[in-house]
Amino acid sequence: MSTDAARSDFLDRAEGWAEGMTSSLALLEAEPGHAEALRQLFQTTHNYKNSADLGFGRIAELAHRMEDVLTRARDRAITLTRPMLDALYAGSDLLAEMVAAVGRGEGDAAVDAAGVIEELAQWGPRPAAGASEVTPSPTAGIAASPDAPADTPAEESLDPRARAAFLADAEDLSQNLSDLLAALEPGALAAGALNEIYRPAHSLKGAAGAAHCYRMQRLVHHMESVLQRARDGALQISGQVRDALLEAADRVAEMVAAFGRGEPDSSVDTAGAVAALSAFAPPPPVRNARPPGGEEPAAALRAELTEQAFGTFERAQVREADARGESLFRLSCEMDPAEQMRFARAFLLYSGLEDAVNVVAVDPPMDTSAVEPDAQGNVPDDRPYAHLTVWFTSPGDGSGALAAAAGAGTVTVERLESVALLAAAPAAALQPAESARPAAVERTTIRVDTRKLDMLWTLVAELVQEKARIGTLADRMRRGDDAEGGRAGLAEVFDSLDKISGGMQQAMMETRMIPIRVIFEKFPRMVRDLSRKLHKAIDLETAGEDTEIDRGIVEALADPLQHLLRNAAGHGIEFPEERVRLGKRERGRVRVAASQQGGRIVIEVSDDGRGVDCAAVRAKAVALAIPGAADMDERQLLELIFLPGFTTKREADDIAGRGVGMDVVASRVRTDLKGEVLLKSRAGAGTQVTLLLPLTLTIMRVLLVRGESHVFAVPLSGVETTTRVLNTEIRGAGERLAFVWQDAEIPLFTLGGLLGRPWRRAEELSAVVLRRGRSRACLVVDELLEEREIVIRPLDDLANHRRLFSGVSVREDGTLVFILDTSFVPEEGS
Amino acid sequence: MSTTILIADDLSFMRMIEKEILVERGYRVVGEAVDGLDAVEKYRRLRPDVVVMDITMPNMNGLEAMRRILRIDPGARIIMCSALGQQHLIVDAIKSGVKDFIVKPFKPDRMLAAIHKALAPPPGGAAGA
Repeated sequence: MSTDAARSDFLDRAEGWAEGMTSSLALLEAEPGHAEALRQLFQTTHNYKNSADLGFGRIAELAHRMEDVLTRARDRAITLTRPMLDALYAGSDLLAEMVAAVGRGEGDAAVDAAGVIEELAQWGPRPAAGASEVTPSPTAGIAASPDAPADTPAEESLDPRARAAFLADAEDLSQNLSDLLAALEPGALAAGALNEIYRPAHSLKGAAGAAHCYRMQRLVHHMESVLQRARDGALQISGQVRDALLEAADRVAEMVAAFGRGEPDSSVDTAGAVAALSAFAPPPPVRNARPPGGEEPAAALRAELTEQAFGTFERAQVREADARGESLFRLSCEMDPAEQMRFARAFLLYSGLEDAVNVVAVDPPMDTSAVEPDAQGNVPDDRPYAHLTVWFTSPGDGSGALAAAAGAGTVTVERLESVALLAAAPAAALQPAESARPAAVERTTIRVDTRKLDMLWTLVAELVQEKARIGTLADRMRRGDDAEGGRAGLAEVFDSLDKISGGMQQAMMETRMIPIRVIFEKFPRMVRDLSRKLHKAIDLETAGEDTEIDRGIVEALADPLQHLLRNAAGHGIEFPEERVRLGKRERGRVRVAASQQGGRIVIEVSDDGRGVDCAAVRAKAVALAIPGAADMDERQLLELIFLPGFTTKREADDIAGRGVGMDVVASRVRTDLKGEVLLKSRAGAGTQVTLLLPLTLTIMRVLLVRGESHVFAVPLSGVETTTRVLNTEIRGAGERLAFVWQDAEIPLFTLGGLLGRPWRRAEELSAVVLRRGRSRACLVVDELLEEREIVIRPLDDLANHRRLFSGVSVREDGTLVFILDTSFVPEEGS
Repeated sequence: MSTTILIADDLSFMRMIEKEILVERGYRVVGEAVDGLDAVEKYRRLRPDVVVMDITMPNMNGLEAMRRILRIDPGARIIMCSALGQQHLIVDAIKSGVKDFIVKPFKPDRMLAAIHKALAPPPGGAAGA
């Protein structure tokens, strides 16, 4: 890569770094010693420092100073104080400015960072050190500590040169491992990223063993097992998994540092880290049940092959070989008990024999899939291969086989009397050894909690059972006997099929669900920024992060929730002095909580701020000439806040208050997500916004109606009630019709009218009262059918040129049901 | 003329240990490669009698490097080095024609035995029917 390209690449990548840093700093401030935040910070400072190679010396220097302070904080040499945190925040802001300056072509020196660098330097490890020196990495810093006793090597067998070489490698690998782990996003699917991490882990494991750091080797082995399971798709990288890996990486760094000081790796306690990792990658279980403590039970349980048990194929081979003048031999190999890869050793021997002689049979069978880790990442038990028997035919004395078998263990070759074998009757076909068959589990590319899949499996099993019942019933009915019983049975089968398909729908739906945590995770940083900008002290509380919600909804929800949070901080929470004056806690509180209640997700955003000033809302409403504003009750006034362009704040700022926001929230939630927004507020006590959302967008409860000889579906979330409309109650004419409902005149639409067809009036009509926020409208239909759940499919624009429909569903008989988009209901005030 | 050996391992420490074992026994380490690509390149140039190759290396792993070397020279003698837990990779390597493998951490005599075996003439020659 040319320098220019490298620089532009750096600028691209560095864009979000500073933001991530402040976010991590906020976490660290809330919880000193927050391991993940520290990791992120080290990763970022490290990334900045790398820019030194591109000529951004000032950026690197500042990042280096920040890293020094963080290193000392991590090592508990200092406690992060407010001034330190402020300097770190200032540093990350300056880094962002420097990157921006570089982007403008001004160079990083255009930003004056001297003050902050100086400030940071006073808390760094070497206050007097020159600013331009190259920083050792945190681990190297420890390892290179001058008081390391050079004359007490932990491992006598390693000469100083080898020690130094190992230390250098191990430091690199350990740092590399930590960095990569820190950058690993929870939930990351990227096999590439996992491979990247896997490599240094693997290398370190090998090197640690060779350097006699066995505790390190074992710990890294545990890390590797977890990574391997993740790479194989058997384990998702959750926050906990990453924490366990990071903790282990910390221990590894400590052991490397200990090695550098001449201490044995056993001076570091790894029990906790090993236990944490083991939770995600249990030690490989043995596939076959076996008595505890037995050494070679897997082999003992398996029926061993003998030449008497040869099948016809083996016998034919022996016969042909006999005709060629070759003899039958049996080679037995007892492997060295220390052999670590029994299958591979056996396979190498077998492959060598295949090249040298005519192999007739081998026991245990050489099934190379026997060593593939299964879907759970468990490596199969290869102990049966420690004792290997190979039958082969060869001219001469069979000594060629011995050469091929060299190095495999204790090998004996004996000549067999093939004549006797050929005379004997063929035995049953060769039985495949069970131990060599790995559990066949289909791998998929969709990551689904196995518990969800188990549920599906159970349902499928039930389905199969019901199918069998139908078969029996069908037989009986075909024969014509017991028609009455057959019908009753059919009704029963239908009932259980109904339950099963409902359950399957539910189980399938749940595979689309992800925890709402992904949105909530962004809030701490946001609130910190807001409190700094607004000079307000705000505590954020979150609850219910594990609440699962449809992926599609999660994506659509991020913006509205951020709007609500900004509103709470901007409009709701008072300034500290005002709060104190009012007798409130100095620090304001914003709470975001998610939960599932029945078939809905409920998200509440609440604050303990000043609440909505209903008098101000009313005054604004009157000023905007909103009809009936003067007589509205509190509930009606609060609903006005969701109107486009409605704000009571006098001046717009960049936090909240431009009059956009709440209407966006309302329309996103109501129209796009088919949910509901409720606002409650008490003057002086706070505001609570509640979002009620469907669990999923793909299944919807609807009211089926008939009109214009078609069946349409109206989302139940938009239905207030159903009613009868007498022709005489309809007012107006032409396209502008109205109907009085609950003392208010609401617009009246007809399905025909919406579809652009003439409407035949009747004496008495069926109608649906639709709601959209506070607005109500009446939709006249020919017939109200039923309420039910339907699966929604997207509708292309061609079929939807009037934008009347939000989707389509296929009925049992194959006909289509169009789902009415109720946004034709006029919004009040618009 | 003593046997020439190419060592391929991304860790300088491992290379050092391997080299010491080999040199002590009179083998001549003619090159050290730091990754798979380097190993292929050095093989092409140095044509060593034996390659001792680590299986996990950056840029190009040992397995791929071995396959490429065997494409250049089907008679190449390659010994694969692996840590535990990579048995399936070793099996792949055997399928591709590796002569032997050693498991890290290895004892010097294991490594020497592997080299000895790799240098032995192919047994198939005598037994072909």
